[in-house]
Amino acid sequence: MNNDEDTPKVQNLTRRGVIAAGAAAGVATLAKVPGLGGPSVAGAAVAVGDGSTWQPKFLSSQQVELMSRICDLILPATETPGALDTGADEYIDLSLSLADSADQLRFLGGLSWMEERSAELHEKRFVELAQDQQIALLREISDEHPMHSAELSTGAAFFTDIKRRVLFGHFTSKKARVEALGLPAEVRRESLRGCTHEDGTHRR
Amino acid sequence: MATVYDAIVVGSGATGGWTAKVMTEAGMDVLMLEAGRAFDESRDYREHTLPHDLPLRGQDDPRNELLARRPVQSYCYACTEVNADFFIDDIDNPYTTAPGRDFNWIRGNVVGGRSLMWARQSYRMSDYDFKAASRDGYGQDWPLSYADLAPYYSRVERYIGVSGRKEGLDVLPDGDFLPPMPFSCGEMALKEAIAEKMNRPLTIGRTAVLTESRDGRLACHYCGPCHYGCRTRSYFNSPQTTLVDCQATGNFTLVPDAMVSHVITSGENRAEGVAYFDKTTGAAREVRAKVVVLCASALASARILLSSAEGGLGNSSDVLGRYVMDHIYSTGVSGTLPSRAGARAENANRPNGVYIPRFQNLDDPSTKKPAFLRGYGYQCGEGISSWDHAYAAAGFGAAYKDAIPSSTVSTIRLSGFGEILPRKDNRVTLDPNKVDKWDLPVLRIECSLGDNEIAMVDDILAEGRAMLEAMGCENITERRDPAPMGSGIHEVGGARMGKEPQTSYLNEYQQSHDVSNLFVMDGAGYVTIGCVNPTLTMMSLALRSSEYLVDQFGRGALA
Repeated sequence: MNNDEDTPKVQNLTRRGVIAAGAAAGVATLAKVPGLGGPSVAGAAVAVGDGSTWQPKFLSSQQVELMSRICDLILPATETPGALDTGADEYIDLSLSLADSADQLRFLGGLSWMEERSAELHEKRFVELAQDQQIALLREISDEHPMHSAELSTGAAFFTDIKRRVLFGHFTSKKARVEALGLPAEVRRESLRGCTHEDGTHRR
Repeated sequence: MATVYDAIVVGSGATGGWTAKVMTEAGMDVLMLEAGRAFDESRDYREHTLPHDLPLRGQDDPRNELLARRPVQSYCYACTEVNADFFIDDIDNPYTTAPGRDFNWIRGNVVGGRSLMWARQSYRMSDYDFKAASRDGYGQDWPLSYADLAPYYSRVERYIGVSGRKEGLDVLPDGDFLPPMPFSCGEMALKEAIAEKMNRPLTIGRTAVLTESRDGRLACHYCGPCHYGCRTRSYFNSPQTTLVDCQATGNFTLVPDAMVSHVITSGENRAEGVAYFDKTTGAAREVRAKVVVLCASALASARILLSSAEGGLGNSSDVLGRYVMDHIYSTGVSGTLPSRAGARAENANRPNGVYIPRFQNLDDPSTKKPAFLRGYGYQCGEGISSWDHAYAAAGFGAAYKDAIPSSTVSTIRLSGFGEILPRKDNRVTLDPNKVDKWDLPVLRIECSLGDNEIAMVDDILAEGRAMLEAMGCENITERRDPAPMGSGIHEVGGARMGKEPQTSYLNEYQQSHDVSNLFVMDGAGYVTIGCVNPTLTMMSLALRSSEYLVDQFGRGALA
């Protein structure tokens, strides 16, 4: 076929001046995870210290409470913002809502393990423990130990998982970028300093 | 009366832009067909997107349909949720491979093609490459020498803007450079160590990124991800440079979404135009011209030619589709540099690395490597972690957290880019059993590495480790397995140049031996790939060939 008579769409380029300057449905399938108590919908809105709130997309209210407490213990507020100030907990909930079911199950199983361990040692929920008890429980599964007993292996795997998630959620936030890492909030014009050593040390 | 253009150019990327610029500025009336979509600088460029601007902070988002339709393109580091629409839709545009011979074919889908997302490294080849066959007896020489191409390299470098340092090396000829970007401290430590202990040079990457403002384009402001575009026009790409010049002549028509199926011929030895599909409507169209220039990218041009006549248009040599090459890619070594522990990055967003030129099988007898022919270079750099070293640091709590910003890690990374020899059986053909969305036969790509490349990988790892040890690196790790061919995104060949019509498809001006008004000015004409990034050489060849084309056209020799 020859359509020479048609006028094809044409793109014109000019040298302009340079510009100056669903998740809850997924949870339902996981309701039977042992020890979870069977959430079928994501939890209620979560209040943040600055007065704002966020709406969980995946975790139940109790799970959010537990997850957030662990995040706070891993990256607490100091002179720089903590994980709860930067919304790392909200990021974790969102990323879980989009994760594949194996990752979701693994995380939920970890939360469940934490509650079971807390009940076993202290007959209380983790969030009801004194802070030193929470820290002690977290420390026994932390990566400070090169090996863990079989009894703690699920907890240790969970610690690694939630630590990775909270680090990523925290340090990729705008607030941590600015207040913890000292980087500009937005991309801006920068120059390259390069190596200025003349003595051959090439250190910091 | 249907329009007969002076020339049709198929493809709007790095080489298509050059040939159209030369022809339109010489007064020829040019139609350019681009299979990708239209380009809009104000809408398409998103280079200042930061991780916190994205819902999953840059982690692949399973809700992103663009990425879901690009399982091959996603292999490329530059294809992300921010710019996936610069890349082709793999579902609509499939290809096939042979068992055990995977190939990653990374393709653009936009006006400008891969010149929008390229890595911008711009090195000259030398007569170690152009005359490689004469040196070691393998394959064929190019039909031209470095001296023939040097003036065109200079003109392209001055136009596109290449920053770099002159080093005076035969194997990596100097160019016409803008001021170089600076080394980081760790890179200086590597440079000094290998100079002192191994007598090897290291230079800053030669990159098509402006370090000075010029020609309405601003110097780089070091925001980082060039592959998302650049509103300050600081790196070279065709839509912001060559295509603008074409448009200014008034002799230029650019049609996007035009998927060329084949070259229309009359008799056996003359191109009359091309046939294409309007991808937005599915309508089939034909357009006529006195000259046809394919710049669709090496394999896409081979596909068009294979589809244009039984056995391939102008293929008396049986070379069409053969001798496909790429670079050995993704093998290398990394190590941490203890003297830089805790350093802050001096060059956090420098869009460039450093380069160790080929030091194997040169004239100096001490460089001979009996295990393999030809050679490789290393693309290198120092990376200073921002916070991600915290993954590997044990612990939690206030002290753990507060130590993170000051406990950065310096990693020196050396990646070998090695020459893959031209082999007749590394080839593409039309797959008789599969068609794409437009019912066009797809390419069957059958390419893999050979013994020479495997031997080269061993050397890349051994020499790389020795250099990291020489500078005091620790925790040295190797990346041994080369990626499938195509992964270097330097695929070239398939219609090689040569003096003899019996053994080559194109002459030294990238003109078909058999069809005198047909040219292929992308990377298809490559005879050997050498070990440096190919785009600068492609553009220089296109400039040289296009001036020849204009001259011949003016004399009526192509009529």
